[in-house]
Amino acid sequence: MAREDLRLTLRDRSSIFWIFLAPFLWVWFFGFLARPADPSGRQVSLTVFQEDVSAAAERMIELMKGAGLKLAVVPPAGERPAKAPARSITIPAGFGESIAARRKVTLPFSQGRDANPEGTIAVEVAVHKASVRLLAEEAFGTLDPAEDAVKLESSWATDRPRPSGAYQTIPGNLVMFVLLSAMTYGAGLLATERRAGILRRIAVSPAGRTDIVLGKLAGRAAVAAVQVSVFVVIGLTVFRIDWGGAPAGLALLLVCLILCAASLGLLAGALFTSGDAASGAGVVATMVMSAMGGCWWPSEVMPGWMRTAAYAFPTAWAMNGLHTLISWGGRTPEVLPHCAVLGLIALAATLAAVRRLDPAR
Amino acid sequence: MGTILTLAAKDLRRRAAAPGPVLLNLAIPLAIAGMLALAFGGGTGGGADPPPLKLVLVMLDEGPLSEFLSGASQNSQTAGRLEVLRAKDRQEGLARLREEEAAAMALFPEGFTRDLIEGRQAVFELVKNPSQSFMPLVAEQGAEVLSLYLTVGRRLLGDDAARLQGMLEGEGWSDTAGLALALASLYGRIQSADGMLFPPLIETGEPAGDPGEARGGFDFMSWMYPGMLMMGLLFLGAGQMRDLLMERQAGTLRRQLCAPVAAWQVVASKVLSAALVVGAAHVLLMGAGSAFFGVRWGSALPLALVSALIVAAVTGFCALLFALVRTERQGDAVSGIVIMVMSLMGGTFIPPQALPEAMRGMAYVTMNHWGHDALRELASGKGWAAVAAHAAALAAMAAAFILAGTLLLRRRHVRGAL
Repeated sequence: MAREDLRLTLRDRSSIFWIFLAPFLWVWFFGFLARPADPSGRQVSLTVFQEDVSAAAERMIELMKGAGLKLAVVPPAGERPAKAPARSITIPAGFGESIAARRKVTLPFSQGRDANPEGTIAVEVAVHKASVRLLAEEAFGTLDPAEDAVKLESSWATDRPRPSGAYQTIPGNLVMFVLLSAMTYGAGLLATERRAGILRRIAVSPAGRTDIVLGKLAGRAAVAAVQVSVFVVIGLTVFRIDWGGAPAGLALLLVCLILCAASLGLLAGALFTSGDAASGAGVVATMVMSAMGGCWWPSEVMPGWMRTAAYAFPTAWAMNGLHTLISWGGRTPEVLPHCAVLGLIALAATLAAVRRLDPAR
Repeated sequence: MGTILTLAAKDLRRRAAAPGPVLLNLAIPLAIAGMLALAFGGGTGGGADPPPLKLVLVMLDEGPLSEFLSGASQNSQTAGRLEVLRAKDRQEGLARLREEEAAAMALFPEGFTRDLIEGRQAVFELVKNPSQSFMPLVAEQGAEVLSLYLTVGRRLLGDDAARLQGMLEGEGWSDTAGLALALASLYGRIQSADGMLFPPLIETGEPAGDPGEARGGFDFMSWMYPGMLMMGLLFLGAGQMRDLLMERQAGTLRRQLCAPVAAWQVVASKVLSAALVVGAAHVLLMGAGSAFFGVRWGSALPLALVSALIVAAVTGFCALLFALVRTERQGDAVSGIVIMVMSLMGGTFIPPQALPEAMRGMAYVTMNHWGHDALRELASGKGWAAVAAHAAALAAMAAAFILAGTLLLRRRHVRGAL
């Protein structure tokens, strides 16, 4: 039964696209093109429209350069770029005079639609630091950054990869597309079979109710297992993902995810009698679970209540488990709680599906 | 025309009898937009507050500065923005950093205040959470600013720092002459800095007369929602046209060939009824965008024209797509691929400007780009001039797709292949 389900799924061109091609199109687009592997390692660009030629304006520009920004300075008589830059700041005419006279001065700051928030925060902090240093120099004399009284030593708790670029999109899309396939194709196929009376016909065969349900569960798990294997292999070979130092823990976590996705697909297929309705509801449910579980973006950017509520869904446990293995370099025992929760969700969904899937009905 | 309208009305009644697929197609863009609004703000309640920065503080220093920093982390200005978790040592701090998903751990070593007062470089440590990518960088930026302020503060105290520390510990009060000298010197430095640094004389602000692009003027949902709307309409349009292939399987359209209606009238009525469903969905999605996500759609007349063109272009595109495929399965596969690729390349999720230069041009051949960009321009308060090119492109696409789609469908219908 599982083999037949897998065969039927793989025969469908649409499912081939959504199960095997769309995930990597997604990963490539969001992970490879749109973001560098390490956002902390890049220089953020800022265009400075310099309308003042005083020493204070020159020093402000020098200090912004020193704060790590990649500056493009447009001098007072210079030609403005035809296309609005991603981020720009203007040093207005009379800047130096205002500082000398201790009058408040505002630097107009603009950002375009394509400016990412990390870069904007970096620019705002760099401009603030440059302006405080400039003012401190005006008040107390030169303030050489190399001789600062206080020094910050910053490091990461591990030297493992951080969840940005492919390290966010590969785990995130793995979790999302495994659930999406199970809850759309898996659920839709089962609902269609129920509507067509195929399950009723199977019921007259020597296969018992448990065999039928387990067969259907195994069918969905087989599709998910193929999908996960493709993700892991492509992650290793194309994106050079370091999956962590605990292969047993990774395998256990992924098996629990597969079972969880398969059982949720089974439940969705058992709840709906129309394939289209099952697939549509599956898409909506997967989108919500994926967004809240941190598959779309780093979960730390969400409000606290959303992060807490996310643990009601398997996506948050799966993503947290994957980050534990990949970014913290965790060992197998550290993902056992994640596996236990995913296993419990799988068990509960299967039991609920068994109650609904009475082949005699 | 009367025949077409009658056929379209009957077709609409049939579609209305099973509204499930349409409602589910509407639910998908709404669910995605809803999650985006919850996470990043932009709903009718305004923008979401940024999540507080969760920080583990390990204070091994026992000087007055540690008390100041501990107190500052709990005052009303930082409440809601900063969530400080205390740990007694590095080991406990690292454990809390991981278990409680904090962004970073700030560790002030023993003797930090003493080093600062005695003129040695004082070093503090920030250990970032490797399983997060954004908030640790925010914590680092904040720590850099703190480090600069402490440096400026140390400069303010000048050579009197040691004396002042002694006074805080109850020593040196009997030396009134020295005390007066220290206070006078400190007063002089505060006078130099006053009006310069407290608060800083330089600030950043929005440029005058540039509300759309200015800092804080960018409305995330007004940018994101039109993209979701266009993608949702395309999936919905494909679902409506898929109906033709279901009828092909059931043979209902073939039977109409022997009815007293022309083939082109049957096809035109099908395209018209699909367009009416897409149009109704467009209105519903726009209404939901205003009601739930606070999107203001801008001037009524340009909006009506752009909306009509979007509906026509989407319907024509889906008609052409389903005229080219043979089976429902093919239709599902091809429409899913084409719509998803058009959405990615057309700037539904990421502005084309953020793509590599070689790929930017591809946005202009997608209907998504012209549709959602026109809606985005109108939502940002612009008028006819800003959407004239978009309207022309959409009109050209709508005319070409409807003509080609209808002709191809009619040919298939006449041959009994529909």
